[in-house]
Amino acid sequence: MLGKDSSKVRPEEAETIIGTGVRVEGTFSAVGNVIVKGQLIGSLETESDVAVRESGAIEANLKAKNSSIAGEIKGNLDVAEKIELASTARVFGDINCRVLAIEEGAILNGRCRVGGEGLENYKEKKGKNEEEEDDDSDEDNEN
Amino acid sequence: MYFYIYDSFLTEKKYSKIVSRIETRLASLDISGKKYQLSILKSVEETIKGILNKESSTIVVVGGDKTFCQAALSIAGSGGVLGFIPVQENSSLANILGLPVNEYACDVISARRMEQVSLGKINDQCFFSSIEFNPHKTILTVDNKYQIIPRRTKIVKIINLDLLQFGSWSDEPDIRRLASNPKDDYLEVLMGSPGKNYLLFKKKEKKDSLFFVKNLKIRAKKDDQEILIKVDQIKIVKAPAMIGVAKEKIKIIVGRDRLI
Repeated sequence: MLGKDSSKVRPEEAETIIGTGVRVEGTFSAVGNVIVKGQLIGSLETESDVAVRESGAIEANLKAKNSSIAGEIKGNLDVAEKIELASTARVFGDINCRVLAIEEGAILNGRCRVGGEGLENYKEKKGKNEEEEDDDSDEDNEN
Repeated sequence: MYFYIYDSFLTEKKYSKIVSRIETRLASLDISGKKYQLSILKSVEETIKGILNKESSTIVVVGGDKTFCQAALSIAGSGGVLGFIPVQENSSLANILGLPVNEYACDVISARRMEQVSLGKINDQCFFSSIEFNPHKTILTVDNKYQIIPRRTKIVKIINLDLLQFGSWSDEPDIRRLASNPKDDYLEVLMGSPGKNYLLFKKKEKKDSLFFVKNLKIRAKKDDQEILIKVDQIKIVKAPAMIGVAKEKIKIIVGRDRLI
């Protein structure tokens, strides 16, 4: 944002920047995008995107729409859309997202739930599909 | 009815030609009004108070940023309209409000394009532009939710209406300059290191962090430590301090090329 070609700054459009010169502690909730280059301890929540740069270190649970990570995270990630892990990323926690992209060299130490549905939902759905297939084959045999 | 408040430095001889050009332009645009000259004995506050007692009107400050800030605080909540004819070339408020300098600003006053902006609040007093302090050994608590602990930043600027930079002027082109948004409920908190001019070298300012906050508390890490907060480049307030957006709003005449 600090280099964007727009003169007006609105929180919902602009980016909060946690720079290398500060440490943030507590429940951090932002209205727009967040860039983390420094240290954050507690929790981080935004309805927009979060980018953790290589120098960024987070000890917090993270909730966002999209997230690209090149730094370190100790905590769970709950992302509505996409998580991108760069080669320098170090994640120690569980991941929940719709799409996950991991670059070679990234460290991910935790459970992953990708695609929006858990194993139980998947089993339920698979069971229903099989029942429907059985019904169809019974109807065919009767004919 | 227009009232013109002339800054105290305009009595200097080198400004006489500029002042006469401004007055000629105001007359040709048919927006001449009563003139008030500020001096050591006559402050902005009492001048505006005297004007507002008579009628709700348009008050135009002719001069520098500091006087304009003081006028903005005095007129807040009165329903009056504030205009600005900047006479200093390096006026950052003129830059933000899209105003040309000297007599060229008279056309903007005549056009009466207005914006309503809010004021910032530090403890029980208002501020118009921004406040600054050295964050060494301070803790900033935002909205009672999280703390910002500065480690390697040399300056913190909390902005209501100002450029998102530490110096009043920068080498960056106009398009890359960013201003705060004084029309929302947020204040911008910019942290970093200011630029410095050495004999032959120029050290560029470094912007490190940017936060958007509604309420902020500044306090020292230790009780015996004194923190001085510079308000609008005019006043000094001591920490601990509570900062937020004030309820009072003011109407300002702005130019087409404004940054807000």
